Amino acid sequence: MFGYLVRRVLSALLVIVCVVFVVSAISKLVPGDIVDMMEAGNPGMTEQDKAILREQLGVNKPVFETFTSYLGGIFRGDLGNSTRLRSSAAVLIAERVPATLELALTALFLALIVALPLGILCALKQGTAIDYFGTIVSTFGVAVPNFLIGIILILVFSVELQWLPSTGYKGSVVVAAWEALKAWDGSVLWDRMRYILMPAVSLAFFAIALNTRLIRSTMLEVIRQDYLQFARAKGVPERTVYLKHALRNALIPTVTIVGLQLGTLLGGTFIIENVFAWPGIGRLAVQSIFWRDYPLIQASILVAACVFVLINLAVDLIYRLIDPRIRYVRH
Amino acid sequence: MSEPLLSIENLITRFPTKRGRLTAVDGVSLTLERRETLGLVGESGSGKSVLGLSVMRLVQPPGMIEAGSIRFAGTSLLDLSTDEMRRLRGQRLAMIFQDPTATLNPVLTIGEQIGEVLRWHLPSIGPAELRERVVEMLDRVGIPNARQRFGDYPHEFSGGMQQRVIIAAALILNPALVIADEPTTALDVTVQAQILDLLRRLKDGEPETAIVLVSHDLGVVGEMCERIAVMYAGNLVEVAPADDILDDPKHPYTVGLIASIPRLDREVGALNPIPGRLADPVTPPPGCKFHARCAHAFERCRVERPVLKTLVPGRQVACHLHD
Amino acid sequence: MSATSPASVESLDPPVAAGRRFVSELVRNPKGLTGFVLIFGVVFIAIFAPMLAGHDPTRQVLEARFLPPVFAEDGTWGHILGGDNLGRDILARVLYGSRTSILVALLVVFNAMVVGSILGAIAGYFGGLLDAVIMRIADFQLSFPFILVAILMLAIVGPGFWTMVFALSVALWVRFARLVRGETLKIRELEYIQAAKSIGVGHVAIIFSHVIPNVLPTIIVIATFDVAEVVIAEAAISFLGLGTQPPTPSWGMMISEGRNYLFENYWMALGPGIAIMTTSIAINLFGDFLRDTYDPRQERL
Repeated sequence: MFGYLVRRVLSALLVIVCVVFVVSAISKLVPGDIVDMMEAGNPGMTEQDKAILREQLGVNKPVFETFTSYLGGIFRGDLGNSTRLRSSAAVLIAERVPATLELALTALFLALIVALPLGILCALKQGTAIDYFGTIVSTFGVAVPNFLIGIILILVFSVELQWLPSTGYKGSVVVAAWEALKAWDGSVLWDRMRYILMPAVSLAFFAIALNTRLIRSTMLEVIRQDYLQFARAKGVPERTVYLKHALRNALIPTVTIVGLQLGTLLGGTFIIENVFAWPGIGRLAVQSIFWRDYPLIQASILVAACVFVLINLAVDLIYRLIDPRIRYVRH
Repeated sequence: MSEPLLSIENLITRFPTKRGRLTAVDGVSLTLERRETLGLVGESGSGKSVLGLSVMRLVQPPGMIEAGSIRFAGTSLLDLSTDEMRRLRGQRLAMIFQDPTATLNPVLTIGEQIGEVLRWHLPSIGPAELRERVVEMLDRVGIPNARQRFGDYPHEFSGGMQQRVIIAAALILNPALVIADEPTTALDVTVQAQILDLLRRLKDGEPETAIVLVSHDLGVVGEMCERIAVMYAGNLVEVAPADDILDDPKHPYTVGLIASIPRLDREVGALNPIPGRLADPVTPPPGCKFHARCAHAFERCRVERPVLKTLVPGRQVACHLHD
Repeated sequence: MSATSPASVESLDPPVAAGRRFVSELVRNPKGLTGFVLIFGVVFIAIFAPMLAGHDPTRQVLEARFLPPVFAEDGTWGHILGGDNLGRDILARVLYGSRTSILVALLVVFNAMVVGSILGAIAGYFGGLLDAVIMRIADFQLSFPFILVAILMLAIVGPGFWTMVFALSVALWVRFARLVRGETLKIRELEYIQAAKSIGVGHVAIIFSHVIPNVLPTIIVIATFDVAEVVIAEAAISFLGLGTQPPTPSWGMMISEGRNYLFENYWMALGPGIAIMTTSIAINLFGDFLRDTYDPRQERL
């Protein structure tokens, strides 16, 4: 276990170093002069501004030196300055990371909370109307892009029914939940949840579809297993046979891909945040591309990639701890 | 004479299939006395496992028991509610399955899987007592270091040890009837003998337990059992004390089965498999289901199905040759 | 050892027989058939868009600004799906948009397939340092979601149609490379390949005659699903404004334009939305059919 831990952490570090290298070399990769390009996106730059930028982006330095100086900056907490917003890229991003994580985690939660009962029901009621409904949901969910789901949700819940706001963000739901619990007043919580519901559902739809399929098919497989008959033969009631004996086994493949899904969901935030004007890294990254704000581009891509690598690492290590069978295979 | 422990009357169990209804158990009647060990023998597909599952009422839908009655210790099992039946399972009626690796739930500890029996049938039992009883039972079935192994997962045991765990779960509440469905088929030959030995010892230690040993291996059954019932294509074809059946089989199918047991006193390679295949259970042939494979079949066998008749007290056979 | 080359089985199965099998399997599979017919429809529309559209997709007509579709109040048959914010005919733009989608999808999947297969074959066949470098890059890329890789590319090179094609191609080569490399490694060790080498059959010839036929079914299945993925990705990237640039019609871009007018003029997003959904579902249904028929080992997760 310890050896595995060390290997896994080292390889994650290596990936991060590679990302830093690619990101730091951005000025070398851009076709043409990067600072001239930036001027196009930020009119009114002075020659002095441009000189500072050249220095900051390491335009005239060799690749390796650019890399070491960028890496040095990371250790000082300095990711350069946004030319457009005229403030520290690190600060700008730190403000936005929580919103992105909250959106992705909410979507992940939804992906499980919806797919689990739906997948189980489809398997237990195989061939009935519920099963067909589940199949249709999963066919659509896999095929329809998330931003289109977002648009459809806005049309239904904002335009038609006028239940939910179509854009915006009023602060963290988790924080609101905590405060609502302390004050025993749900109104603040609901006010914030209204904003996250549609983005989270659009983001989660694909994962819901995939998980429903997966849970259905593993459940169908598990239902035929001998250990369920054994449990029945011991006098275990049917409900417990399904909810304890069957579900625990059906969950293993699901839990395995759910961790990896968090990554896909984080990727999806790049699009969904732009549909719902959600103030996260994804929206910042796309805006910075429009602004040709290269320091901000560098920083947002770097942070997104690091969040991604770290989450994968965490998921992988958690699995080693919880599943006895994975532990067993490792020995 | 008191009532037998188990009496099955004209039991029919069917499974709907795409081709039609498959009759797995086709009008079986059978009785079992207290403490008796009965061997239930037949080829795979003969319906012997389904018969065992029918007694447990564990036939899974779409399969269902369509007719007949099963009386167990004075109660009619088919008239019990789902929950009443559930309370009998594990407590008065127990089952041991064929493949121990598939029978144990891979994600639960063996302590949990045995303890579950106690938890559902003795709701007032505390965790410490539960653990104590499970460890004691593990010890009785011959698991070394039982106390340490309580929290182990099934994959940490060998096949033979897994089957011991299953036996422990089946016998922990001293059931009156244990149905052992091919308990040794999936195991190594040396381990097979140990498991059979264990079953015999456990049974001898109990004042009440009867065993139905389901097997395709007449050799195994002959050693273990007092009485043997031979099943063919959903019907019982011969029921008799073990010694009688082995020495003097009456039904041609039983004769064939005995001839196909590999024996040390016969030349190697002189195995005598019964020619032909099991009758189609969806559209069985008219008359005796065995007639197509029977060397002695005559006209009556092709039109009239023989019923189980008593030849001498204790010996029954379903064959026109013995009319 | 029996030296039956899988390739020789392939040669016993001439295109005609393969085509017959395809048709007979397809007509027995309602989902696959639906997908196939819809795909055929989309391709048909793309090819004959100029004849079907009836309007120039970029021409702005003042009277057609925010014109409702025919089924809504005040709609006209002249503009069946209505007009957009600049007075362009939405139906014409949807029909022409299929050209953009299909063009990008074909270009990207072709690039990814060719480049990925070649790199995979090189890695598998020659091994050593070359293999290590190629596969490390692949692993590195696989540890990020595909859309993040594409956006990184777009960030570096700048938004635009060709940049998007390039970025998506780069984002998708890995699966092909891994597949071909794996098969090449297996094939390389077989006796008859050693024999072929010893009688002087060239590397390229070996790869073409032995590796490609073996992986072709899987490649086709992956490529089909990739087409669906690229159609969606093109729409998503153009939705963000980083891909296809105006005035070229693209479904994603149209939805993004419609996004701003959802409250007053929902129909701007309606046509392109239905178009993307139909195309993507069609390709997925057809892909499922191909996978189940030709490559049942593949599980899509």
